[in-house]
Amino acid sequence: MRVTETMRFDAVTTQLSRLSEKYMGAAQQASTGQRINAPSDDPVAAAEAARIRASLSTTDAFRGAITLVRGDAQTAESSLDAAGQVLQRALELAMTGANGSTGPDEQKALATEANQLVAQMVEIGNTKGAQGYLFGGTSLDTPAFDADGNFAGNDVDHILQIGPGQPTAVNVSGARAFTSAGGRDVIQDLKSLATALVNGDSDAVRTSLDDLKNSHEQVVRERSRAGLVLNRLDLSDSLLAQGQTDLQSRSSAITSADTNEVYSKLTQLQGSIQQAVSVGKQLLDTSTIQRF
Amino acid sequence: MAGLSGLLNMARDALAAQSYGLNVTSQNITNANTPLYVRREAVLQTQALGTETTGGVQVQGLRRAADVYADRSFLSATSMQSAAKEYDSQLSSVETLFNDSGATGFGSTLDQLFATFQQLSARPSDPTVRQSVLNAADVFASRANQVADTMATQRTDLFDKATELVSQANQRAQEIAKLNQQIVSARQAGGDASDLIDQRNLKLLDLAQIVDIRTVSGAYDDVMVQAGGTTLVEGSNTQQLSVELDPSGNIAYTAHRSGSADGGADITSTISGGQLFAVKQARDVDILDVSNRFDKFVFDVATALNASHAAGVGLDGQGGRNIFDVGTTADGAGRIIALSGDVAGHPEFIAAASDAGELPGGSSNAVILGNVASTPIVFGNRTPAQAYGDIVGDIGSRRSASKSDVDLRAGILQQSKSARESGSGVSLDEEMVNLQKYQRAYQATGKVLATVDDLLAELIQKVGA
Repeated sequence: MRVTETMRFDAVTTQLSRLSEKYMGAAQQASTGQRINAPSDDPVAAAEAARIRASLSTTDAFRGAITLVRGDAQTAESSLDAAGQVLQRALELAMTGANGSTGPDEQKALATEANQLVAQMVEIGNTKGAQGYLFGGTSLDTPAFDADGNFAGNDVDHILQIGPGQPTAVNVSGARAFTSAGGRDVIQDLKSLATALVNGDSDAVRTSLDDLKNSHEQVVRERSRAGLVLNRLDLSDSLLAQGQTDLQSRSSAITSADTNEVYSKLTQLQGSIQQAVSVGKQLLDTSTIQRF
Repeated sequence: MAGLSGLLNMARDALAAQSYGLNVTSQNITNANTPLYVRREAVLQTQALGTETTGGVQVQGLRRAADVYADRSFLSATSMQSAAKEYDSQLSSVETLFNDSGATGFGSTLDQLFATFQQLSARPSDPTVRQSVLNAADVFASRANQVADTMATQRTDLFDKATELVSQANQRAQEIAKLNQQIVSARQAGGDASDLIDQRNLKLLDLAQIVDIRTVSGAYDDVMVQAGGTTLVEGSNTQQLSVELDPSGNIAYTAHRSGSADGGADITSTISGGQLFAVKQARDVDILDVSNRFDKFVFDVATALNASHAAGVGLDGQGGRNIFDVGTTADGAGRIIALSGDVAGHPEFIAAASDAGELPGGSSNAVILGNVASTPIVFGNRTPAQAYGDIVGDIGSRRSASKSDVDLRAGILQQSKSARESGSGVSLDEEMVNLQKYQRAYQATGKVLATVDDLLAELIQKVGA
């Protein structure tokens, strides 16, 4: 084959530009740490990476939402704990009152305390969380109980996705904890006790004692439900955190460049370019022109 | 055999022949870097005078070391490479639109929108969260507009490019026809048309980059040029190409005689190389596909979100509101989608609750909106994230194929260029040797002259004395 100058020059420039292009690619991989810098670098992996990114974003969003509602669930649990203690105290008052051996002064003191317990219970029922009244269902803006202890809220749950396909009620129902929707109207029971004590009606106090026991059970039951909600939130969060780690490592396995590989490729290409330059120099020097 | 004076004549012809050789050699050296220059050779032959051998030399003429086959395959490799390059550069623009590797692509705006629905279900009555839902929806819509507009603009630009290319091609065809005419006149007059042929070859190369051509050589070195199954140049006649949009908005190429009133021949589907092919392919196949798919994606997502949103109620207890204005069909959805007037500027109208009874803390509709992310509502059976991944993968494989085609075509072009160059190119080494060859012969002829001159002088001296 006849070899002309143009062919020699072309061979040198083609080889050099091919190598420089490869070098640029490897340098981009090394500087970004990414194996895939455009979908065409690996279409299947790029599509997968896009899906993983979406899953990661969803997982982040689930976890963010859990963080947002967790505080309220905790407040609800401790509020119900306090409500349980109020009822515990009411039971003690009722037992003392039902005894019949108390003097009028003592009876009066018991009545006063019972009234205070009513007020305390209303206050607990009107506990506010991050969004509004915690025990009013989705009626966040109006107090769950009026001054007389009448329930003004609803029994609609606050629903949240706490994981893929897991819509869950994350609130504690004030209606079921404090009102007849859960069995007993707790505040009315406390009020009946107070009235019975004020009237010194020990029969009524005894009736009230049974009711209060049921009320207490009801509050304790809802408190443990609040605990369950918290558990679920925590469990979901840790599952999501694990999922997040898995997704991140999958994503990185798909898109990250192997540092060692990239750097050795860079070095290798550098060598190739130097070689190509020196071969090119020799190739161009083989011309016989100088010898004439 | 001639006598001394015959020797003188022979030496004179020899000097002429050797200097002709030198002339040709220096032409070759001068044009060593001229694109498509075909090296020439001086053709020398012995001189016959009737049946008598004179021993003299005469210049028979020039030979162009052209190789029709190599030239043809060079032209066709040029068309293919030019098409591959053009096509790849168009696809690379589309790919950039869907490149999420920096986490700033269109995909993340959808992720962001769904993330705000989660926040909304955690804090249904929070005005800040509601505002961020509106913002994310607005960003999703305007990024969709951007992506779709860019593709639409690219299609418009490609039509302009086709128009420009067609006018270039027509100009080249006319130049070729004109050169044809000059070549034929030169050859008919018995002249040498090498330089004109070289010039015409350059025009052919230009034309081959625009459209794949087939050339057929004529009797007087004129060339007939065919493209897309129709004849563009025959002798000094040309056909003009034109480009327009067919009823469905796709590029259509036609060829017709200049000045002729008939509609011409539709050669859209028969052009298979050159930039015209690449422009058509990128514009009416790939970008169109991707853009239709994108529209469908945007339409499906927006419609599903609208349906879920309309089923719920805003803080004012009213339902039936859309989040997006997106039209009734997927056609052009990417360009027209916008934040709906139903909710724009009214974060309180975002329907987080399913009915008025659960206001203001009801979140069940926000959950439904968030669930759209994991519902197969796009392309019939894909979740939004899966579908978006499909689009990214689709573009990735189109571009990746075009990238490797560019490499392949460049390799083939290089090869056919070498093959052509090997036969027709100027080798400076060779020319240096030729230079020496003719110089030495010229010098030796001088020596012959000197010798004959000496002999004649001696003869004259002796006879004259």
